[in-house]
Amino acid sequence: MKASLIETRNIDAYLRGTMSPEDREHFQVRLVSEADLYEKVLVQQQVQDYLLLYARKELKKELEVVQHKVFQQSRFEGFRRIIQQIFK
Amino acid sequence: MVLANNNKDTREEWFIHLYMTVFPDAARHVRKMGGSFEDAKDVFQEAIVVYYEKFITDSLRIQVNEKAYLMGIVKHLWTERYHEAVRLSTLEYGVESMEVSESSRDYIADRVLKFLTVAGGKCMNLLKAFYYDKLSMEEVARQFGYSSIRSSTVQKYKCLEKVREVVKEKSLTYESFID
Repeated sequence: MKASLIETRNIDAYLRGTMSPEDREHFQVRLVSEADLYEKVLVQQQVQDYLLLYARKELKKELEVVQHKVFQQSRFEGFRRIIQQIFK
Repeated sequence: MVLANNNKDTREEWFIHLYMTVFPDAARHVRKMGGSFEDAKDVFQEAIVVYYEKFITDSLRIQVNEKAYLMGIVKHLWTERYHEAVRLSTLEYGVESMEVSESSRDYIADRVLKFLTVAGGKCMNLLKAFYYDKLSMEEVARQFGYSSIRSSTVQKYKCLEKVREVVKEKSLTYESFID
């Protein structure tokens, strides 16, 4: 793997807490002295946040499809009648 | 019913099963608490997201009473929603400046996310499969058509790097636009 990818992997392991205690200590020392690495860690942390937002949006899209099916398709007629009774 | 071989199709079947078995009780609860059909649909959707996220972490795979667990989330979310509505209706002036900076941050996040969805969709889906859906590298390789675990692993880090560059660049662009 390319050096930059290994660094990305290390940042990922650091952020997810999967580094060994020795590696973590060593990494933290580097973070203090290497501004460039520190910045990458901060942005990669943001990537994780964006990824969570993205994944939830995608999951909601899947759920919209499911919701549409259960409230529209004829095979779910019985289910719909139960729900209509509840809100009548 | 359990979610085996997590992919879009099996998830859909599982979600339909959850609607069939739990939604009627969730709807009765929301109705009893004064909510509408639309409220019930919204809360149930939110509840499935929470349930799914708990389910895919190993701790919940042993959960036996799916219905009771999901209903617990529905009730909790409904109570939260009710309190939030009360809080918003009693909110007074004086927090305007905070709201402005919140909304600029939301604006940047929204733009970056839209960009990532359009320009980096393939990478975002691969990273989602790995980090959010918690698929194994074997499964990721299979679903995304990589010949080996090694190549899907390398691709994962390439994607992380690519997305990181986009986030850095776009955040700066949108921040300067707001300034």
